[in-house]
Amino acid sequence: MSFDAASRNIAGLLALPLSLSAYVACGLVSYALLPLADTGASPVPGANVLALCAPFVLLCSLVVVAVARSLAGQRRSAREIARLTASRGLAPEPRLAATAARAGLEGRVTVVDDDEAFSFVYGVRRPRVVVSRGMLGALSQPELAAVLEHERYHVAQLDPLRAALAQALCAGFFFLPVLAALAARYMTARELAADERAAASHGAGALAGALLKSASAQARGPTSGTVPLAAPATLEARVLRLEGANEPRLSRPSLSELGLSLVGVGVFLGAFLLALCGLAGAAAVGHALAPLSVGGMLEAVLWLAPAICVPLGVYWWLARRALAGHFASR
Amino acid sequence: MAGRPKKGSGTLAPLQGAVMEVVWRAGVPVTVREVLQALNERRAEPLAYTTVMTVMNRLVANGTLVRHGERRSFTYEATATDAAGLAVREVIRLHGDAALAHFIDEASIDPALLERLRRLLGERQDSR
Repeated sequence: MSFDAASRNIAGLLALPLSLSAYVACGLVSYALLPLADTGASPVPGANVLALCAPFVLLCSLVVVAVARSLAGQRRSAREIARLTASRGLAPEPRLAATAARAGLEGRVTVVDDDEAFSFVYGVRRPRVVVSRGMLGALSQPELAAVLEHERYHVAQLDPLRAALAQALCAGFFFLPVLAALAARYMTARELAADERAAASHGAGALAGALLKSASAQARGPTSGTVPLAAPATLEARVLRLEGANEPRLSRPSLSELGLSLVGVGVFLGAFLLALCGLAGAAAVGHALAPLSVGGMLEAVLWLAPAICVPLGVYWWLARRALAGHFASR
Repeated sequence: MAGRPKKGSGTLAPLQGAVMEVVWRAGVPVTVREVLQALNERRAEPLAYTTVMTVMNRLVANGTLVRHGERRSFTYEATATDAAGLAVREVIRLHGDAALAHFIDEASIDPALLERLRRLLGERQDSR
């Protein structure tokens, strides 16, 4: 798998929260918990210790609650959509069933009775494709094949799962607004990759036609849903790609997002050091700040590298396996 | 969905639902005044014109109704043919931030982009 735009952005999206968590976890274990176990000091903390730890504990619980709420909300929504397609879904008509079978999506496509032209993939473990009746009516045969190939890429790559995790990460690390920008870039890059597949197997013309029909429908009846991960520039990047741009530039994180994220990192680390001071004294804070020197920085990179590389490696391996497994079974 | 009659009737607030029923029954574009009269025929406490107008503008904003004509003579039409057709879109809109990957997922679409797509298609047909 090449190091494309999606990989770069998911690397950033994962690296920031992971390195922050790894640093905090290492600091807590080596400077607070281990010495505490060694000296056998009283496990009952004094009042001032509680006060010093409070901001950090509060922040951490906010992160956990936000991640849990985001995941629960998405689960609820996914169930609602599954129920909707189960109760209102129509069996695919012969033309769609045949095209779906050719695209390797046999039994995974549902038609919903709606005049508007739309299509999407849902479902975390076993994604399914939903196509509206309006979409089916609007698309020519090659366009339909292109849409299904596009959606099939999302199915094979478990993109709903990726979207869910990216969203939960953004919700959890709410004090790093740059994550939302990275997630938006990531999702746009995923769309470009799915488009690439569709254009390669059914031609750029079929894809452009499908995009035009679906986009015109949306331009007529705006869906005002709040989709935090939808980069406003996604369609523009996709059109640029069709026009022949090699790698369309994705919208960059704004200066305010970067600035606020720096402040966020500062506040989080400040709360952590305060808690460390309360648990293990001022000397531990000095140790924890050691990575700020040049030598310490190198050492910190060595320590943090596995914490970032291992999850990223697992991510790439899973993505590769999902892709290979799905497209081999054709 | 037999056991959940309430859910099936859609996610619109009660007044929005009543307005949509009138619009669907009419089958042709209607004015706020017409909807108001139809609603008040069956109500003990009549609704104010501005209330109905606010509800209908909200329905336009979320894409359930479309508005035609000019100021003072606006007419409104439903985008879906009935409650069943509406509910699909409505549910998806409500849950748009769930674990989904849309084919196209934009809050608003720049007409210039549509023009560029049209040009792309035109070029392809010309070169054939």
